[in-house]
Amino acid sequence: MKKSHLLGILCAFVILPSTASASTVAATTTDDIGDTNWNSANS
Amino acid sequence: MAGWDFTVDTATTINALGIYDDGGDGLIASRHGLALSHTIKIYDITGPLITSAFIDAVTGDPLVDRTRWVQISDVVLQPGVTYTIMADDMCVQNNNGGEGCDTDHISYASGINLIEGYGYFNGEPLDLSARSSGNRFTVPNGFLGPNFANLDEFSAVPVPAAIWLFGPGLLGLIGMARRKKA
Repeated sequence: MKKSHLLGILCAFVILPSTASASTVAATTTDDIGDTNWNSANS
Repeated sequence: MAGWDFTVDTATTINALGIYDDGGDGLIASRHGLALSHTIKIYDITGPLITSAFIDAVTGDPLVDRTRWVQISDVVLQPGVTYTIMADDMCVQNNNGGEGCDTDHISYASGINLIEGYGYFNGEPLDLSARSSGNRFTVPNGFLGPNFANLDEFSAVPVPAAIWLFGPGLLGLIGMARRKKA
């Protein structure tokens, strides 16, 4: 294996951990609540 | 007060609790709400409080996916347990012109299973007694007010591990450069 290959693998180990994670949100919506009647109360 | 019951398919780590912030206005609710702060809680419905957080109105907390978030210590939700997440001063069905929940076009992350939403008009304590005694809503698409997440924004960056890998890589580059010169 060439040194350049080894270097490439090494770089991948450095770069990948910093890009692999991603936020996970339980519930998402594309909706604007707009004119619906679901509102707050002082509970 | 409002909330929703759910289960998870696999062990799920969360690091944030949040409130649906329609309009992204910091919960000041220029259109739909009041300048309200909120307490958010997750219970195991058999009794134990799993985690809780307080989110102030207009704090500038991160806004992700129309939800205003606060960080919590990491919690692992387990499969086989039914949980409920609830928040006070949040979305009951009336016409007061206050801050709202979303009931349409809601989608859930893979492995998060909605069971049912619920809400109350006023006066209920933010605990399991309110959940079991009040109105249950069977909105087809869910009932989004309080929310939970695992956010990169709140994750610790694994700097030490990166340094251990980056260091030898850098030394290698320096070595190769020297060889080329020689």
